[in-house]
Formats: sequence, C-alpha cells, structure tokens
Amino acid sequence: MLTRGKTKRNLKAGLLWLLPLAFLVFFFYQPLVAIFRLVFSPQFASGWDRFDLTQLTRPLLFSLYQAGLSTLLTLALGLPAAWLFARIDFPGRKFLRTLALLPFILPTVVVAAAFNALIGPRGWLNLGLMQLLGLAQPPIRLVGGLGAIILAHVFYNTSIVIRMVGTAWGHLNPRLEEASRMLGASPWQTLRRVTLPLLGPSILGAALLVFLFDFTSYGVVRMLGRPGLGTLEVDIYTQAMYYLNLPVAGLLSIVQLIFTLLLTIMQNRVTSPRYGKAALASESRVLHPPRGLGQKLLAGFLILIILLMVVMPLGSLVTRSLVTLDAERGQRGGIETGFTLRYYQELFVNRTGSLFYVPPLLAVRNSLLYAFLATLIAAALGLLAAYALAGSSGAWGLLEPLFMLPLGTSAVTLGLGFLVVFNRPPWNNPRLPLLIPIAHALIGLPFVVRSLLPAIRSLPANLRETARVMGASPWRVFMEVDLPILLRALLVAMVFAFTISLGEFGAASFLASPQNPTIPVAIFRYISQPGALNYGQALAMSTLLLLVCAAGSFLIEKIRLPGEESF
Amino acid sequence: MLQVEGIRKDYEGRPLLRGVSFEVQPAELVALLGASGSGKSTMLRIIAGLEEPEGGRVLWDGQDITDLPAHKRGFGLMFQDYALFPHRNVYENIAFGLRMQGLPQDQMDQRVASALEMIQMGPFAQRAVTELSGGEQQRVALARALAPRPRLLMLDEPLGALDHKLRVDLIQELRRILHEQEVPAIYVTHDRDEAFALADRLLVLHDGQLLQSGSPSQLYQTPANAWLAGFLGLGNLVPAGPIPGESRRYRTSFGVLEAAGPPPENGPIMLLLRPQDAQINAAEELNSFTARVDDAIFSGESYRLELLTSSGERLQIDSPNVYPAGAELRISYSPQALLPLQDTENE
Repeated sequence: MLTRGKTKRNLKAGLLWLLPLAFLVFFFYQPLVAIFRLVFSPQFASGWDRFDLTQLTRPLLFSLYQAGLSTLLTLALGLPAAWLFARIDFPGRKFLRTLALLPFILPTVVVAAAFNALIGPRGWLNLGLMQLLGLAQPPIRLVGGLGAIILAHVFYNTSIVIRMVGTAWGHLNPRLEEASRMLGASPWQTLRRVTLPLLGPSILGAALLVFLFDFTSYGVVRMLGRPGLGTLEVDIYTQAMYYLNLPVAGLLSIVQLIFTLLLTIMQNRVTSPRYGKAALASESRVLHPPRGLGQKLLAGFLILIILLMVVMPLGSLVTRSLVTLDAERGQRGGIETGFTLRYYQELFVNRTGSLFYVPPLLAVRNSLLYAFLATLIAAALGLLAAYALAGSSGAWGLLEPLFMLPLGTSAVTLGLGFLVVFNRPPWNNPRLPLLIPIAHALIGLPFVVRSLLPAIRSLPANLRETARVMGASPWRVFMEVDLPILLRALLVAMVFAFTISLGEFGAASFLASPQNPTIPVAIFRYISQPGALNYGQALAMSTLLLLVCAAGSFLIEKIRLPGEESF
Repeated sequence: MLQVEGIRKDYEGRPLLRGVSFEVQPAELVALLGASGSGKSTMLRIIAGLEEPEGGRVLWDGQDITDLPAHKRGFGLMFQDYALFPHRNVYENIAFGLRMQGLPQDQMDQRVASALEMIQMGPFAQRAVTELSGGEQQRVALARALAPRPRLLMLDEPLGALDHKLRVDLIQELRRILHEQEVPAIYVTHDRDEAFALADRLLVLHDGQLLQSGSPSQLYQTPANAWLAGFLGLGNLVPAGPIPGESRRYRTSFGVLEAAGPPPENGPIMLLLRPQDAQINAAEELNSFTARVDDAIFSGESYRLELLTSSGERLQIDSPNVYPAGAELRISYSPQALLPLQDTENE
C-alpha cells in the first residue's frame, strides 16, 4: 500500500513538472541548442572566413577587466556601507537603506540615462563647468569610456553588497567581536581575524554575484561606452545585428554561457551557510549609535557618500528632464534654464514625418502589456515549478538544475536564440509579439521560484493535513490553506517579475521591431539621437520608468516580511 | 583592586544605573545578582570597557581606566552564549588571547595544554567548537577567558543556557577553578542558587542601585527589604501594620503577630514567614493563627502545604505530615523566626 501511494504521489509530482518543463525545453533549451548548432552550421560557415581571434579575446578580456575593476570598487564602497547599515543606529537609517537598495531594481537604461544626465556631454556637471569656466567643449569625458561604465556598475551593485553582506553582518553575533576585544585584540585585529573571516562566505558570494552582473553588463555598456568598447554581451549583439555574423555571435554566447555557469555554480557553493547557528546573533540588539570620534566620522562620511551616490544621478535625471536649456539648440553663450513639462507633453504627441519616428505612448503601451503577460506566465509557471521542486524526491529531484540554469543565462543570449529559432519555418518571424513577454517570463522565472520555494518548503504539513481531515479536497486545500499563506511571497515575486520585464533591455533589443519598441528600447533610441527634444524625451521616459520601479521596490519592501530578503 | 564609583547609564532614555559603587578584593568571588533588566549585564560591560558610562569612574589599583579601550584592560569576559569563534578549533580559540599578547609558540602550546587540563578536556584540542556540547563549550569559553591570565574575570550568566543538572555540576567546577587560579571574578546572574553556591560575596542590584552587599548567609538571614526577600524566594510575605505603642507587634489580616527583629525605619511593612519555620498544631497559643489546607504537594523530604487563612491570605508552609484539603490547622511562629521588612515597592 505504501509503495503504491508513493508511486501515485510521484506521478502527480511528475505532472506538476511537466508544464514548466515543456515551456523551458521549448523556449529556453531549444534556442540554446540552436545557438550551439549555429556555430557549427555549414549554412553560416562564411562567417568564419572573416573570423579573427581578437573578435573573441578583445570582448572577453574587456569583460573580465572592467568586471574585476568594478567589483573591487563596489566592494570598497559596499563593505563599509554594509557595516554602517548592519551595526550603526542613526536617524534616517531605514530611509537611507531603502534609498541605497533602490538601484538594484532599476532598469539599466534608467541608470545609464541618469549618469548621462549627470556626467554626460549634455549633463549637469558638464553644462555647469562649461558655463563656469567659459568652455566650448564639455570638460568631463567619462561617458563614452570606461569611467562612466564603472561608475554606473558601482552605483548598481553596491546595493547587492549592502543586502548580502549587510544581512550577514547584522546577524553576526556581536559577542564574537566583543570576545575578541576582551582577549586583547584591537578593533583592527578584530576586524581582520574575527569579523572578516566569519563574513567571508557572504563577501565572496556577493563579490561573485557582482562580478557576474558586471561581466554580463549590456545596457550600461551600450549606452555609456563607445563602439569598440564592448563586453561579450554587447559584442554578441553587434556581431549578430550589425555584421550579421551569426556564428561568431553564437561562439561569444557559448563562451559567455560557460563563464556565467561557472560563476553561478561558484556563487551557489560559497553562499551556503557554514557555521550554522554558532555565529548568529542570539538577540537582535546589534545596532548601536556610533562610538567614539572615529566611528562618528566614518559613519558621517559614508552617509554623505551614499546620499551623493544615489541622489546625484537620479536627481540629475529627474531635474534634467524638467528643464530646457537654450544652449542645446546651438546658441552659444548665456545658457538659460527654465522649468518645462514639454518633454513629458511630447510623449503624448503623435508627430509624424520621420521614418524612424515612433510615438512614445506606443512604447509605454507595449511595455505595460508585455510586463503584464510576462508576470502572469512567470507566476503561473513559477508556482508549478516551485511546488514540483519543493515536493521533489528521487528521480524528479535530478531535474532541479534544469530549472535553475536560466538564472545564469543572459538576456542577450536568450534574444539571440529566439532570433535564430523563430527565424526558421514554421514561424519565419523572430518579431512575433508574444516572444518578448515569453523571454521576460523566462528571465523572471528563477526569481519567482527563488521567492516561492522557501515559503512552500516552510508550509507546515499539519495545516494541510488538518484541512484534509476536515474534508477539504486537494484543490480546496490549496485555495484555503496554501495560497493565503503564500500570497505575500507570490506578490513579491510578481512585482519583481513585472519590474524586471518593464526595464528589460537585452532581449528586447533583439526582439522588438522598430515599429513596436518597448520603453527601454525607445529610451535607447532617443538618447542615441541628436537634438534636445530626443534627449529630453529619453530622460522623461526614464524618469517615468524610475518612478514605476521605485514604487515597485517600495511595494516589495512593504509586502515582504522581515528576514525574507532572498534577492 | 577593582573600584567602581558612582556609575550612571541610561538605556533608551531611561536611567538604568543610577550611581553604582562597589569594590572587588584580590581573589574575591563576587556575584552580581539582579532581576532581568536590572542593568547587571550593562554594569559588567562598562567594567569591561565595551560600553561607556554616562557618569562615574572605573578604577584599577587606584588608576582611572574609564577611558581605556577594552582590549587594553587585561580583563577577561565570558558570555552567556560563550561566543566561541566558530571558524577556529578548540586550540585556536584558547590560544587567541595568547596570540594577541605575542607569546612564542612553545609557551603558547604549554599554556593551552594546561588550560585544557584545567577543564579536563585535554584530547579536545583539535576539535571544531561547533561539534561540542553545551557544557563542553562552556568549559572551553572559561579556558579561553582564563588562558591570557586576566587581572579580573567577568562571567555574564555563563550557565544560563544549560540545563539544571549540568549547572549544578559546572558551578562546583567553576568555584574550584576560580579559587585555584586566584583570579578575582564578578559573576552576573539572576539565579539565587547559582549566586549562593558560587560567590564569597553577593551584590544585589535593584532599581539602578546597589541594594545590599554581603555573604550568602547574611543575605539569607537579613535581606534588606521585602522585594529582596521575594526575589530570593525566602518565603511568604504578608502586609503588616505596626501597632502604635507596641514596637514589636504587627497587625496582619489574619491576626496580630510578634516579631523579635528590629522594626524597619518607616513606610509600609511586610512580614516574612518562612515555610520551614512554621509549627503546626503546637501547644503554643502565642503568635498563632488558624488556616485551612487548600492543597498539599509532595516535595521529597516533606510536604508543601498550601494554606488559606480566615482572611483569604494564601500561605505556603513545610510539613512532615500530609493533611487532607479542608483540614483546619493552628499555625504558630516564634517571634525570632518572623522578620519585619520594609516594603519599598508599595511606598
């Protein structure tokens, strides 16, 4: 009887697997295989005639170089900031933490536009300096080079260090550090011999994740770099879309995939807790006001830096989108500033005449629709997959890595794969409207699974058993017991999936047709074109996207229970 | 040795310590006793240098060390949760303080070995601390705190996390080790039995101030007030009023009782009736009252009787015999056994 019941349960678990698995096989593994075949296909062999090893090594080395540099700088700022939020009590601490964590959820195009509005040739700093010093050319030339890319990466990923290391630091038993002090270790020795070794796994995990994000950076590099200064991710796009050299694009994708897979595996390894409860705080009172002059100065300095780091780019973006500057129309001399809502009004004006012109409102409509669909798909499949993973045993458990693989896969690779697969019969159209939400759902799926899985695993079995004993059918049990308890985690995951889709640029840049852009694609197009109106509109759309994402981030913090910071 | 003068400290805007002063003599074992939230752990952390007082001074051999950083004081501190470094093994944990002193390797090995011997855990040197049981961790923490030969050892409820049987065993070992090492120690606890079993002298912290200082038997015989008698669990506390003109007689809700001890100076009074001093149905008519048995609980050597007086007051007394519920008893106390105490909580 027991075996029969078990077989039956396993069969049911198998059915749970089936739908998300089929989706992954068709929309994820098929494109991946297509990219592999592309590289070796005789059909495209002509691409290899022009192949030169530097086409691979240059973007690879640049990816590694800028990611290494960005990661080091991110840690240099992020580790002290993690200490600040984990240990020091100061007025406005919660607000500043929310602010410091905001960049994580922001779309790349918004961040790039924000830095453009701050340090770009048409940004505040350059305009101010030109006015002040009477210069004809913008003096700061970070945009179009490595400097701006690294600044944007640090802006982005400091939030990851604060979240991962800060959480670990906050849970680290302060008695351990005090015990070290009592045994005669100075504060510096304590940091080196006790605190940092204990935080080691979370620091390494955060560093690897930051490196992974920097390594696969796409939107930031395309918008703040210059041609020839490309990561693997950017060159996949360039090779595929500009040079139409699909085999080389495929090769770059495979190399990138290998690196991201390795990094993801390493990241998963190091972040598993090592010391268990031994190093955890037994009481939650770890916050204290800064002690002594040194701590006060350091805390003040960090607060100032974090404020500047977050507020300056985002503030520039918002203010710059609200101001018109005459100098942009080519009139040298006195720059007149004036408040204007013109860039926002223009978003709703349907101007025709230009061949490339696309009404901005269309992009907004597209993005909202895609995000809505992507969220539904990701939530439905993610729920099924999370249940399957939570209840998996034996042979089904072996399928788990299949679900987690998309986590390490870049959006651009996905876009390329879709391009290849759906360019063939029977589809013959890589710009099928449904492909973008499907790609976005794939990108959001691992986040949904990660959010739901711990919640499902911690559901007490006796709740379901009680409901069943009282006569509830399995469906009723799900509706009346599981769903209400999981609702928070599900909502968090859905808001997350929605904001990811809204801001996603990599896959959309492959799949969005010129007539049907998404918001990030439209922002990229506007900001690349000359003219004050285009620039202003790009910033206006970025500002709107920023507000939506900030609202999403706020919503997530509100819904999420404390201690549930899984990403 | 250690001198603490007028220490003041606020916690979340409210005074926690309001001018606490005491001294610790060489090789003296002092227990700092107080309810949870009385500020006894904070007092310890101020002596350790982990927290700054808002007023007062900490002195060592007459020298002001209030502003000296924790790692330069040469004190040892053992935490309730032991705070063993989970990334280091037993040997490395014990050797940590010695390494900070820059001790050469051979001396370090020697000192760690003798520390392990002291706690009878010689073969454990290379074990991970996360694998140890609670009692073993407690002993390693003690060895780690003692290995650098601190001038003063502080213990912050070091047995709080252990079960009762283990505590009884460890407390004796702790007393033996501390006396052997001749290290002055301050032991913070809220547990009367621990403090009585371990310390030469007790300091009671209450309402941010030092309420009483004395040997265990002094505290037991003459607690400073009714709160302390209740905190130490010394027996029944009954509200009592002095009778004008009769200095040693007090009116309670169930009769007038005479107490030999000197009356408290002023304010409301409570009489302490210890369960073990009650006499049941004795011929003595003086200083007696009647009460009905409500319940009887067997406690090993005797019975603990739950009584209800005619006025509804509940009393507990010890009795070698058991009585059925409802039985009427005549209870008497000799005047020497009754202690009038000041009731500061109801002033």
